[in-house]
Amino acid sequence: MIPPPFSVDDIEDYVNGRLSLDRLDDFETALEHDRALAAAVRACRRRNAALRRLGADILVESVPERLTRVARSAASAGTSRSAFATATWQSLPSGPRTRRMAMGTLALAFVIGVTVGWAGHDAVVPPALACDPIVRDVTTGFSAAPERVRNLLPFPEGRQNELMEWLDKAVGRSVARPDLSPFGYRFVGGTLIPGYECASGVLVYHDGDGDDYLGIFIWPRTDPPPLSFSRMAMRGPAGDMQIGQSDGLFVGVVTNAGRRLAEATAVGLFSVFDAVPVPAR
Amino acid sequence: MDDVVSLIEGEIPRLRRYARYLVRDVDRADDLVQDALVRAISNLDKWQRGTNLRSWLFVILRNVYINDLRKLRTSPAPAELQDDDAAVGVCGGQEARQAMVEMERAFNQLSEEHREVLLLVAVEGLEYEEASRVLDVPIGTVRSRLSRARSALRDILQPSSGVGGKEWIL
Repeated sequence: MIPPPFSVDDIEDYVNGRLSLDRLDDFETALEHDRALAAAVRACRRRNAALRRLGADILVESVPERLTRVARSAASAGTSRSAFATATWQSLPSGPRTRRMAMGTLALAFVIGVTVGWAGHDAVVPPALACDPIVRDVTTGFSAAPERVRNLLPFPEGRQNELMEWLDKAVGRSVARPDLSPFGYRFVGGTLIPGYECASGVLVYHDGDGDDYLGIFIWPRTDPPPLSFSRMAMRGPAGDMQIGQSDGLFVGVVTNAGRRLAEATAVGLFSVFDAVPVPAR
Repeated sequence: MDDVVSLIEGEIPRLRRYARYLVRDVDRADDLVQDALVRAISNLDKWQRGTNLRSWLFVILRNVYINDLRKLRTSPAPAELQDDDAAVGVCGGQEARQAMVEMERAFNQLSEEHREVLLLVAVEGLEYEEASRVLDVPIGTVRSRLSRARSALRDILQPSSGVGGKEWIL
């Protein structure tokens, strides 16, 4: 039974990140106190996760050669009709495709992969943002990360204190691990990432089923941002991302669970950072 | 040019999935994808940089599908998937696998119209606007069709008493 004033469509919209902002606060307030609503949200997430896996076996099938041959024949023929021949085309990083989430380290690699995909996608969409050094650093740093991450020991849930200590050292300040249990996400681990200009860290969260993930990237930055933003949202083919900064600390939130979750998490994180500046160590 | 080709190549698995759900036959689906790729390659100049390549390819694939239907004058109602086809790769234990099988079966009971809008929006993650272009219907129709599709899916899943069935109940 769905309590008024929220309909089944509202729940679907919330889970899919499409609930209007004017209703989002009310919904999340109700969610904190209403077990039936929370159960409905969980059921909806579970159902959507199952939906997203439909036909997943097809995606991992080997592609018949006749199909790849069609595409490649176009390249060899030159396709003079293509506008790309004369366009100032910026090549996209060939980020990994969305794959089902596995647990632990696979989740980490996946989150990074989504980030790469996001960066590649948006590198040509909003030129103003694509030129921003922060985005460039994210693109470059995280693009390089997957290879390096393989050589790092990820920190599972049981070693979270150790992870946070290392993260503190990496970013040069004390960083508290955000509690995302109100959103239904639990911390499953993380690792440090040697970034483009500085070390960064990532914290990985899963929903109850491990189908949806949320990754929080944290990295320090000493030079002032060129844009007067405190938070910006980007969306790629496989996830939503929000980047924000406060007092030289940059935080990126990446999730496959919809932009509203990314936004709600980011708003919560950044407001905390704004309200209570974390002291430098 | 090579970059574009590799981007298109990367979309082939998703084109195959969409085609598979449209025609419900592996070989016919690949034929459909091949025809769509030929058309896409010859019309690359019509793809606007910065827009969603996947949704553009889906539009082409669906148009090819519709044209084929008109030529063949066949019913758009496809043959049901075989049980083997319905199996999907699922991580996790038996319960998760069972839940996926239930979802697959429920999905296949939906009307073609409902399956397609769910596939585009819920499975492929297209925005409403992109889905409206693929389906060639107004965005409001996408919203209402999606709402009805989700409702129908819930109705099918709700009576289930099998493993994981209670989890679907809203």
